[in-house]
Amino acid sequence: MKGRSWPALANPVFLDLSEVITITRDVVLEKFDTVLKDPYGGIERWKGSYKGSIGYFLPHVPEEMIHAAGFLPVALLARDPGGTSFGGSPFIPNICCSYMRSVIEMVVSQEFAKLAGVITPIVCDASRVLSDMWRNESSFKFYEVFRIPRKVKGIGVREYFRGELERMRSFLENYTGEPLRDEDLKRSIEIYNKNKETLKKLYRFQVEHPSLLTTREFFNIVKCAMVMPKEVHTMWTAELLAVLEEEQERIPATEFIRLVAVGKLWEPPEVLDIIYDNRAIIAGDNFCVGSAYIESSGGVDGGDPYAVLMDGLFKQMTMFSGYLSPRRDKGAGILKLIEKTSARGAVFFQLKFCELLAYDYPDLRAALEKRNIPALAVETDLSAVSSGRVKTQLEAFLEIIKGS
Amino acid sequence: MESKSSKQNIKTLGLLKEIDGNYYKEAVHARRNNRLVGWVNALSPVEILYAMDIIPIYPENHAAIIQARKMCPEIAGVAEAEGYSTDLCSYALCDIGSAISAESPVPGGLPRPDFLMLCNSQCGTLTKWFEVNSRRFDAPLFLIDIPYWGGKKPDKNAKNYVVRQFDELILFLEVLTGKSFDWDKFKEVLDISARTCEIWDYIIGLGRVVPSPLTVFDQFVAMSPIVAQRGTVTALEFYRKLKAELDLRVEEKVAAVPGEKYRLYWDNLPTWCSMRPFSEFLSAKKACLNANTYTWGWTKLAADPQRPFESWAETHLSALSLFYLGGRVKRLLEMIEEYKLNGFIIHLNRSCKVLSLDAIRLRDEVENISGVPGIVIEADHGDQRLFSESQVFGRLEAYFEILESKKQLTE
Repeated sequence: MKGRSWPALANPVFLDLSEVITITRDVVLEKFDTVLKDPYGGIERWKGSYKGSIGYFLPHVPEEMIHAAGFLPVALLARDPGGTSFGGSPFIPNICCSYMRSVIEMVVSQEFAKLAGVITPIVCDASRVLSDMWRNESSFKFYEVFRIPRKVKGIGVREYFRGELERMRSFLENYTGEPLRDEDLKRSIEIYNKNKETLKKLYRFQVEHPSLLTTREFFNIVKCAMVMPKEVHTMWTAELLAVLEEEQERIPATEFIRLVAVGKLWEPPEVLDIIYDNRAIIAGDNFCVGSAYIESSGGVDGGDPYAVLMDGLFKQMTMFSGYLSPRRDKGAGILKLIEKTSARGAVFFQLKFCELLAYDYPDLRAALEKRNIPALAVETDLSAVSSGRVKTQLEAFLEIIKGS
Repeated sequence: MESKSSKQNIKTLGLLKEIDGNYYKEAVHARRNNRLVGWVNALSPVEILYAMDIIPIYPENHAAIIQARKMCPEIAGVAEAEGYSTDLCSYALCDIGSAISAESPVPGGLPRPDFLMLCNSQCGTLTKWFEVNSRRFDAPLFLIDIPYWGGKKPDKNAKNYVVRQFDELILFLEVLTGKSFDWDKFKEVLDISARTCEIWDYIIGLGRVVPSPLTVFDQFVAMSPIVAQRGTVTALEFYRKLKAELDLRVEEKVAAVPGEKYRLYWDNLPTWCSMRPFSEFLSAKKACLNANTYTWGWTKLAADPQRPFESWAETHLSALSLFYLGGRVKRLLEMIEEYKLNGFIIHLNRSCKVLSLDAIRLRDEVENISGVPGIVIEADHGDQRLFSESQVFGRLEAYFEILESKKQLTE
C-alpha cells in the first residue's frame, strides 16, 4: 500500500478510469494502511468497544475466545524495519529468529504498553524460552502461556486440547470476573468466520486479477485482520472487494506467473514486491499471516464451539511445520495446492534461524523435483534487508519458469 | 592427608570403551538376534524398551561421538549438501549426514530403526529431526508430547494427557513386537534404573567436595551408560565402581585438578570437538569445573515402580522444567553456595536454543544477585566450524584476570 502505481495507469485507455478507481480503491486501502502504521498505538481507536486489547504471539491462539471475553485480540507482529536493520535486544542472541527478536525488542521499548495482557503459544523452542523471558520483562497483569499439543493425532490429543482451551477460558473469566458463555463464543466464531470467508474471496479475486490488487496489498490486509476489530475489517474488505469487482470488467487481464509460497512469515514485504514486479503472484500459501490463518474457519451450526475452535486450530497446525506430521506423502499438501492454484513453481520463505521449515525443506523440495516443479528457497530476515540477493535469486528463478 | 599434586585419571572411566563397544556391537547384531531397534532421544523412558528387549539407539550420542572425533564438518557437510541449513542443530546435521552417507565412527554404523520414540520435554528440534529419520527409514515415530509449564505447577489435564500417551506407547510397542508388555520385567528394570540414577546423583554431588574428585568433563565422559543403558545391570555396575573409586579419591583428597584454585560452574552441553583443549586450558589455570546442571537431568529419570507413568509425567512436566530462566537462576545461585563456586561459564551453544536463548539474561541475573562473576562464551556443542577456540580462550583469559582480582580481594 506504499503508493504503488497501478499497472493500468501505464495504458492511456484506462487513464480516466484509473483516476476514479484509484481514489475509491486507495481510500479503502488507506484505511488499512492507517491501522498498520500504528497497530498498537492505535488500539485507543477501538477502546470504547472492548474491555481492552490482548496481544498474542504468532501463531495458533484462539482469538475467538479472547474476543468472546470482550477483548480485542491483537497479533504481535514484527516491526516493519522500513528498509533498515534493527539490532534486536542486547540480551537475545542472534541465533534466535528475527520475528522473536523484533517482538522482544518491542516489549523492552514499551511498544505494547497499551495492551491489557499477552498470550504466548508454545510452538517452537524459541517461543518456549522466550515465554519465560517475556514473563520477566513485561509487567502485564494478564500473561498466560497457551500450551498447544504438538501433534494432531493420538490418544487423548483432542481431550487435552479441549482441556487447555477450557483452562484458557477460566483464565479469561478470572481476569474479567465475568462468565464466558458458549453463546458469546459462538457469536465470536461467526464474526471471525465471516471475516475469514471474506478474505478468502478477496484472495481468490486477487489471484484472478493481480492488476487490481498487489500481493503485498493483499497480505497487508490479512495482517490488518489480526490487529483490528473483525467486524470493521470485514466491512472494509467487502467494500474493497465491491470496488474491485465493479472494475474488473474494464481492466484487461494481465498474465502473471502463479507461484505457491511456503513459510511461516512473508516478511520482509520487499520480497513480495520483487515477485510481483517480475509479473508473478502468490496464488497459494501456508503463511501464518496468510492462508494458514484464513483457511481455518469453520461453522458452529449450533454445535460445540470448542470443537469448532479445535478444528480450526488443527487446520492451522497441519499447515505449519511445528507439529508432528505424518511420515508418508511429505509434500502432498504443497503438491495439492500447486495443482489447485495452477502454480508453476514454489518459493520457500526460509526465515533465518527458524528451524521448523528448515528440517522439512529438503524433503519438500525433493517431492517437487519428482514432479519437475521448480522450487526456490530464499532466506529471509526481518531485521535486515538483503533484497539484492533475494532479488537476483527470484529473478533468475522466474526466468527459468518463463522459459520452461 | 595432603592433596595429591599430580593429575590422577579416574581409572573406572577406562571401562567405558568396552561398555560402549559392547553396546554398539549388540546393536549392530540386533537383527541377527531377532531384536528390534528403536531410535530414541536422551530423555526418553528407555526402561520401557529394555523391558521389551528392544535395543535403544541414541542418534544424539552417535552425533557426539562423530563430533568428538572431529568428523562433524565432513559428515554434517553431507546433510548440508542435501539442503539442510547450517543453522540447524549440529547433532541433527551429523546424524542426518551419517544416515545419508553411511559414514560413522561406529564400526558397521548404526542399525536401521524399526521405529523411533521421542519425548519432547527436551526440545522441539528433536521432533523435526526425528521426522526426517522417520521418513528416510520409513519407520514409525512415536512422540510423547510434554506440554511446557516452565516454573508453574502443571494442571491435571496436562498430566492425564502425558499418562495416556505412555499407555498408548505400550500398545504401540505391543503391536510392533507382537508381544504383550511384561510388567514384572518392567518393574525389575525400573528398580535397577532407580538405583543407577541414585548413584549418578551421588557422583555428580561429589563436585561439592573440596578439592573436587572429578570435573564436569569427567561427568560428560561418564554419562553414556546413564543415558543409553539406564535400567541395565551393566550401567548399575559401572556407576557402583565409579562411585567406589571416587569415594576413595575423596578420602585421599585426590583433586581432579591438582592445586585446585578456582571452582567453576559450566552451563549447557560440552563442546565435544574441543573437550581436551578446554580441559587443558582450565587445568593450566588450576580451575576445576566442578558443577553443572546438564548431567543432572539423568538423576531425575527414575520412575516410581508403583505408578511409573504418573511419576514420569510429573518428572517431565515439572522437575525437568528446571530448564527455564527462573529455575536456572535459582539453581545456579544455590549451586554457588553448595559447590563453593568462584565463577560460572555459560556456553551460548549455537546448536541448542533451549539452553542458550536466555544465556545472557542468566549471566546478568546471577551476577547481579550473587556478585559472583560469570562469562558467556559463544560456541557450539560439536561443530568446530562455528567457533574459534583461540577467540574463546582469549575471552577466558580475560575472565580469569577478573576471577584472580576478585579472589585477591576476598582473601
